[in-house]
Amino acid sequence: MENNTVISIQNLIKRFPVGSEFFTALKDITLDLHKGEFTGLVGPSGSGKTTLLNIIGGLDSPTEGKVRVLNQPLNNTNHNERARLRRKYMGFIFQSYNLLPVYTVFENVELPLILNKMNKEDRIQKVNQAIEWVGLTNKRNSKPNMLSGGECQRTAIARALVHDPVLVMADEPTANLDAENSHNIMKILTKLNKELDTSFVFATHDEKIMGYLKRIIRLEDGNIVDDKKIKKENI
Amino acid sequence: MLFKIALKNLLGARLRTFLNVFVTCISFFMIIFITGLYDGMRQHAKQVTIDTEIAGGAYWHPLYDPSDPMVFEDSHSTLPPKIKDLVNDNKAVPILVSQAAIYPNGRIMPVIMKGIHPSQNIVSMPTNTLEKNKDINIPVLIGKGMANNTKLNIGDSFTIRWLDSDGTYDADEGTVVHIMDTENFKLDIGHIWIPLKKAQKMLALENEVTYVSYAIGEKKIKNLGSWIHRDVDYLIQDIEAAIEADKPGNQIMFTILLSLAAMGIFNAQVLSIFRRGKEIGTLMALGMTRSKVVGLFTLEGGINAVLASALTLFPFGLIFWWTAEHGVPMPMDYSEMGFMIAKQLMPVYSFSLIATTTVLVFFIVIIVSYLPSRRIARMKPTNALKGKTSI
Ligand SMILES: Nc1ncnc2c1ncn2[C@@H]1O[C@H](COP(=O)(O)OP(=O)(O)OP(=O)(O)O)[C@@H](O)[C@H]1O
Ligand SMILES: [Mg+2]
Repeated sequence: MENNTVISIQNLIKRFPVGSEFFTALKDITLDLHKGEFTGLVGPSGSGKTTLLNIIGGLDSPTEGKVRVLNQPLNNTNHNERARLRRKYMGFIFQSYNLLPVYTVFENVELPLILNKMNKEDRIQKVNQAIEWVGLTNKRNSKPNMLSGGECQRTAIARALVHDPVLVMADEPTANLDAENSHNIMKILTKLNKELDTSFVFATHDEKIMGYLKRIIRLEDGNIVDDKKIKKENI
Repeated sequence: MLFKIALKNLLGARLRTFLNVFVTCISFFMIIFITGLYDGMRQHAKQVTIDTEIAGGAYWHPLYDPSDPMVFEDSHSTLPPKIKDLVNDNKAVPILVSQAAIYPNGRIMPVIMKGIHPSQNIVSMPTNTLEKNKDINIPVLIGKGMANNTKLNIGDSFTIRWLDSDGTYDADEGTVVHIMDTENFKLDIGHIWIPLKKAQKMLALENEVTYVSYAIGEKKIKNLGSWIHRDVDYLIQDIEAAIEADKPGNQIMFTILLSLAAMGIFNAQVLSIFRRGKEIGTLMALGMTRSKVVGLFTLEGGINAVLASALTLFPFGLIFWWTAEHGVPMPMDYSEMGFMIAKQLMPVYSFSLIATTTVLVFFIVIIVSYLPSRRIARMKPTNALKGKTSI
């Protein structure tokens, strides 16, 4: 494994029990993702994008095959160990934002730092910085129900990045947003990817996202059918 | 860290939290209030019994049994010398107990006739009223309940009939000299009180008595001969038993109150876990371990209990304080139902009552918070994120 390999997957198979049968959602996936990559898992609905993302994030476990994330074999780590990996090195962005409704923007963004037991002073500084990245400084004390969809997703981005993760996973981050907000979000993420050297993995079928991706992995029916790097950086 | 998050969640969910806390608080309050009233009642009944009847304790004739009137005929004698000394020192009051029948307004009524030394000050009874009217043949002191039952007023005369020591019936006229308002129904219902000397003469039992009650603080006399010493604990037994007999009803009520509070919290927990599936999934995705999430939800329930205690302390605490100071007025007079209940009940909130109730409620709250939360530990993060939380 190369030094800058963030994710290494070999012969991954994922089956779901459906009644008395099994449904194979991922069929023999082999894949490496590197530090700083801006990768999209694209493909039609039901092709296995979310499933693959969940396995990479340790939210689900593989049926067969080897998965190494940040040099940790996920196959033989327990729940707590995987939770620790997520807490320290990963960030998640969801289609429906998943902000905690009773928390303000500031408190939502602060949560990962609290979970990492960062002291209060550093926390305030980091949170303010992250909120500034996404341009929500004037909304820091608002609760999610007072925010627009775009503002919610920007809050979620700040929350996913506030603790300087190595890897950020985003499942359809723009699916609930209009074109303008989608481009806005992707610009923010591209910028953070450049500045922080954070790796991003998207699951998407949004054409608007495609233009921003530096690597596109096409999934179909649980198989990788195409994997291409885009050289030019014209955004 | 968990605590901060739990508190934020609770404060964020204002109405839901308030309702939960309120239900817990009400049962908290009811348990403490009713037990306090009850303890107050019990203390009061004991105090009244000691003041008016028991004093420091008693020495009984060996055959005396207050619950068996048939033995009264035989349970009397002259006093052993040491007890006699105590009586002469005014540190004990002798009482002669016998059966009699009275005929107030043409009716017949069996009674217990007690001769008591009128100038005594051992028990709190207005026996001195028996001394006032020297010209009256048999001065009689009765209680208010007895006066109501017999329709006798002060100055009314009636026939008393008794069996003297020779086994022959005798009768004479008694006159009510005083009607006492006592909370101790045992001195009242079915009792008439006359001067000791008179009783001894009527029964032809010169110098004989059934028992003596001695002053509070007197030491127990040793070598009494056949007479029996009865301490306060023994003499108070029947009152204790009457109070105990009431207890099962109370416990059923507490169980219901506690179950209501427990079900309220359980229900709220189940609902919140069901509704907050996505939140649980998100917390897991952010790297919270399952046991921490379980802890978080349990803690939320626990903080409910703390808030409930605080709420009980503040507005309801004022009710506790006020009732302990001023008492709780009773709407009706229970004394005629055969129980010593003051017209103004003074609840007693002991430290142990509040402590045990608090511990009990806390314990229950933690359990009903934990039981549903435990389910979270078995949830798959991917399902939780989709909001699929089956309970
Ligand atoms: N828990 C599960 N149990 C059974 N089948 C599942 C489960 N999760 C996913 N699947 C199946 O696995 C396949 C891949 O699902 P996945 O959610 O990864 O698709 P996707 O590529 O993310 O699709 P979409 O673009 O619609 O989000 C689907 O056919 C789905 O029905
Ligand atoms: Mg999907």
